Amino acid sequence: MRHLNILKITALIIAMTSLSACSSMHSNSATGHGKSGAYGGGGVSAYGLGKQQGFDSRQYGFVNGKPTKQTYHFDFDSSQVNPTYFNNIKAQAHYLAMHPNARVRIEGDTDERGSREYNVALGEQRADSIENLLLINGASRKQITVVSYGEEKPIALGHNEAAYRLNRRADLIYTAN
Amino acid sequence: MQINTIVKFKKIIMLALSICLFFMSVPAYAALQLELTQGVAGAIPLAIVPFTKQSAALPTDVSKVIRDDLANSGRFNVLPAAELRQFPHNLLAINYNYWRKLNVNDVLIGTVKKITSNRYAISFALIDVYRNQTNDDNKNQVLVARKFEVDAAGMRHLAHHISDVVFEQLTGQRGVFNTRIAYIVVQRYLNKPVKYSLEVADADGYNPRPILVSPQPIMSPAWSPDGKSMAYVSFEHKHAQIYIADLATGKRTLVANYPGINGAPAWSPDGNKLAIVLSKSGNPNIYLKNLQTGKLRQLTHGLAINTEPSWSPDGSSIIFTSNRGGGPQIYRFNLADDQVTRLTFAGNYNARASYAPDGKSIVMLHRQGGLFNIAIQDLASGVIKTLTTDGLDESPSMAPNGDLILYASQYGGRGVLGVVSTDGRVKIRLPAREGNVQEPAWSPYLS
Repeated sequence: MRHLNILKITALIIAMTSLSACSSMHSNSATGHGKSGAYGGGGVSAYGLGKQQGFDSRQYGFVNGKPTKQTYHFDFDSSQVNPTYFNNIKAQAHYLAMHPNARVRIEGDTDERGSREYNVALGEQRADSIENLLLINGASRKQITVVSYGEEKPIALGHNEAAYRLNRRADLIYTAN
Repeated sequence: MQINTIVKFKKIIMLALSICLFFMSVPAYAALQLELTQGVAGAIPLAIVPFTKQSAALPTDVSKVIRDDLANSGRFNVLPAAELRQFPHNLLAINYNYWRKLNVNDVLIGTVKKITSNRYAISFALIDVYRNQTNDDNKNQVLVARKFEVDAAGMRHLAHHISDVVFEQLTGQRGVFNTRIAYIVVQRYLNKPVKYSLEVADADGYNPRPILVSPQPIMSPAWSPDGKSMAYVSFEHKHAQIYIADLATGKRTLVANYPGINGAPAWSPDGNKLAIVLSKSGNPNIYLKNLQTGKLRQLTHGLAINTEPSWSPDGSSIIFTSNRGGGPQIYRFNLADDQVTRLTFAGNYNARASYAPDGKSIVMLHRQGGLFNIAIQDLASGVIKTLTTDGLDESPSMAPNGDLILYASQYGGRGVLGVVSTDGRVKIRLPAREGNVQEPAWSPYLS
């Protein structure tokens, strides 16, 4: 079994607490942004929650109440989750908490730069970061499997930053819902 | 022809052939086309006289293989065959003044004769054209001369063996023409699954043979020290596992299948242990797996990434990549006292290091100005030298003679293999006929 590191969890709880404050600050924005993985010019975009109470599940890839594959992007050599994804990840965690039979596989990936086995390690840390956020927000460990493909499974094949940005990612894939 | 100095060398050839047996059943072709892109300025001038006129009728053009080997090594300036006007096949036919006027130091002559339907007698002599002639039979000028008998399937490997003999005679260094390389080929087709294959080919790219073909990634091929087995990582079950394949039979053994990462296998010099990377503790750490007992020993601890282990030639320590200090750097784990020492300090990205055969330097992936290149670091002085300039280079693997480094690069938008000499003077490219080639691993000496 994989052991979650206590320090990591603590750090994430702190991060999540501060993020809740952050997202409520932006909740007066008129419309939500439905496209996960969108990036603003500075690498960060703020996402509003809309006026309704709770989450508008459509924002987080839910179609007719069913979850869909989510992709979260990362900075180079980083496994820190961009705070713009926190609400999305929370929504997936809530779904998992409400549906004990649901299962997800988190696949961690990197861009092609750097060393291959180091990138496998980095991809796993990215997937772990997402897993930890799911666990903190109510998902159960047995619902989640993690795999890292490092740089072996690029979705964009170019050798430029546009392709690299798309390839530095963790994919959350529902294997049962 | 009669040459008294000819040495019978059948035994070594038979050994080489028995090792190569399973590579022999398919026609020779190259999946990788070797191109010399930069040779040594002071390359040794050499003439190679075609061994026979009817080379097309023979299974292998032996002298052409030797010519390609030596010319592509970058260490020789081989006179173009078209410039030759004399074609001696024995010592007495050599006109020394002719060869001296062509400004070559040495001439390689030889013969190929068919004995029976599948049996050939091959001989060669390497001649120094500047040595003094002491008597009429020209024996004094012969640096080395040998005679062999092989079947059709063995001719190409014999040619590489002759290249090795000539290379060592003239450079003082053991040749690697009879070694092999392993690498991963990735082929992406429109609307079809990606095809990953782990292949083994001769050092010049000929005789490629698949070891494993999979719709899922294959990574990190590692030759056993005896060259008979290969460890690799396969994602065939949608997660990483480490296998060891017996290269003669193709039989494979699953050696690591833990939760999380199973990666970066590295054989101990005695072949008894495999250093591997597992993340079952929560983060990637380096472990030793005893291949006899199956026992596992955890080497690194902590919260950082620890990966890409590589053994020192004496087996006393393991170098590895870790981001414990922030970015990835190379560290050494001393197996006697568990002490960890940081080895690299230049730049903020150093990874995938391995030792030179003499243990005095390491080669690695090194980032400088945003570019990823292959670099070599002298361990005593700490001085680092960047050897390549392509910017997307990775996965360096040193030849067993310590002279050349095979690495993965990008050329024309595709993954190709490159070779650079450890002094940076020779550069060779091995582009693939199709697909992307990555993660090369140079074999040990095979005979």
